[in-house]
Amino acid sequence: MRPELVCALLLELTPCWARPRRRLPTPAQALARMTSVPTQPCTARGRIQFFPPGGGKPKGLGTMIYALPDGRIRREIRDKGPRQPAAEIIIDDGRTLSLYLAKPGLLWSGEVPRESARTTRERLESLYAVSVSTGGRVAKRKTWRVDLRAPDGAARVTYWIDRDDGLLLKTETYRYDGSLMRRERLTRLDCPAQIPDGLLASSAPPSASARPLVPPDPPVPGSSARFPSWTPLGFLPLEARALAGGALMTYGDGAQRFTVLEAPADAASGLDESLGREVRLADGTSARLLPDGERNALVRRDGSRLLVVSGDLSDDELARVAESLTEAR
Amino acid sequence: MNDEDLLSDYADGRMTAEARARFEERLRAEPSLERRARELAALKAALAQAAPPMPADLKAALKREARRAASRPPSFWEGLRAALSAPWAYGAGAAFAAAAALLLLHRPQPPQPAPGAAFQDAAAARGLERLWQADDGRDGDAT
Repeated sequence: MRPELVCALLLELTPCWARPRRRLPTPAQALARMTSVPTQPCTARGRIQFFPPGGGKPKGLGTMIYALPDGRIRREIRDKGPRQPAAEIIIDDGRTLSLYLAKPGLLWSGEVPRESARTTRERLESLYAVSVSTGGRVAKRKTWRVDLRAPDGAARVTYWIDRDDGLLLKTETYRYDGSLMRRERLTRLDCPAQIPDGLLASSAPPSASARPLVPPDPPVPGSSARFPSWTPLGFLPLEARALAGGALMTYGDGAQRFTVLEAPADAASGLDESLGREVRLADGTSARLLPDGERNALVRRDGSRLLVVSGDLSDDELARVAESLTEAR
Repeated sequence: MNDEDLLSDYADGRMTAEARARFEERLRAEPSLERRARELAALKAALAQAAPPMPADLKAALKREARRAASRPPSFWEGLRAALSAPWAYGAGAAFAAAAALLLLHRPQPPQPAPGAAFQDAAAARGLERLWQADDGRDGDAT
């Protein structure tokens, strides 16, 4: 038998407790890795699944992602397989974010507020109790599992990050009733990858009808309400209407929806202050996250105004939408 | 069969002649049962009187009624409820409805018209919905 084969066999026979084990990162280390950009160009295939409340039939879509170390990213949605033209292309070139829908040939673009990885981490740490454990394999890579839980121990968001480079490989978001709401998972990851610079330029044809990513304020005439300047990737403003002395804005990504209500603060005179839990947002204001069975909601009084963000979003997404309304003022 | 079932069958005329005769004997012997039978008969007659005649074309009548209701300007609370439960509010309606119920519904508000959408992007909604397809919901990695 060849010596190298003997060595290989002996290594395989080494008992598991005698093998060197990688130590679990601390929660802070895991969040730091997860919120940082990749150190080399990467391409990935993935799938996003949405699970409607009440056990409705899941929906899904396939994605292709191109990510550069400088933070630029392109996400394509291909509803008819990887060889067909993309149905949706989202490009973040570091300055502007654009979303092109091939059908009906519309392009939304605009500048979006940027925040540092540190601010993102601080938001997560202020909203959740973070714990790290060993995860399984995702996209054939070994992972750490990062659980973000509410103070009462309820699972809110779980991340699976690559043990080597900290790349975020999978995310699951849960409702207050514990049911799974959304799963984003990479099925294949290639790093380093060759990414032509042109891919990070707009792919929309000149004929595409252009619209602002954040519609001009106010959402309803005569209202002091504002459109949020930040929404999760893939969400677009769908509707705004006058309601309760303010405005109700609806956003969606085709499967998930959320609404933003701005109204006079005295409309909340019947609020039971013991409901949910109080959280402090990054802009220094406090808000309440309401446990509401199938949906998640955030309620904030902002001087004379009441703000309610609710829908198919995680607590940190609800908080960031609310914070972007303060930033916009 | 208990007395309630017998009373119901008697009022609806669903008894055989023999059973009916036996039951009427009991009615004569039991004043309380006889009083309940009379009340039930009166209720049945009142309901029959109150019910509108069945239209010749029920479907068309229902459509007319739906159009009439839609053309009436909704009250403030009807508008609020409609807005919170409308299909476009899917995904947020229940959460907001619960929050709004807690936050708003205790507060009396003067009725006011609920105006329509000030901003609407139906093309975006349709385009985004087309992206999603039925999924088996399985996790390929099952981590």
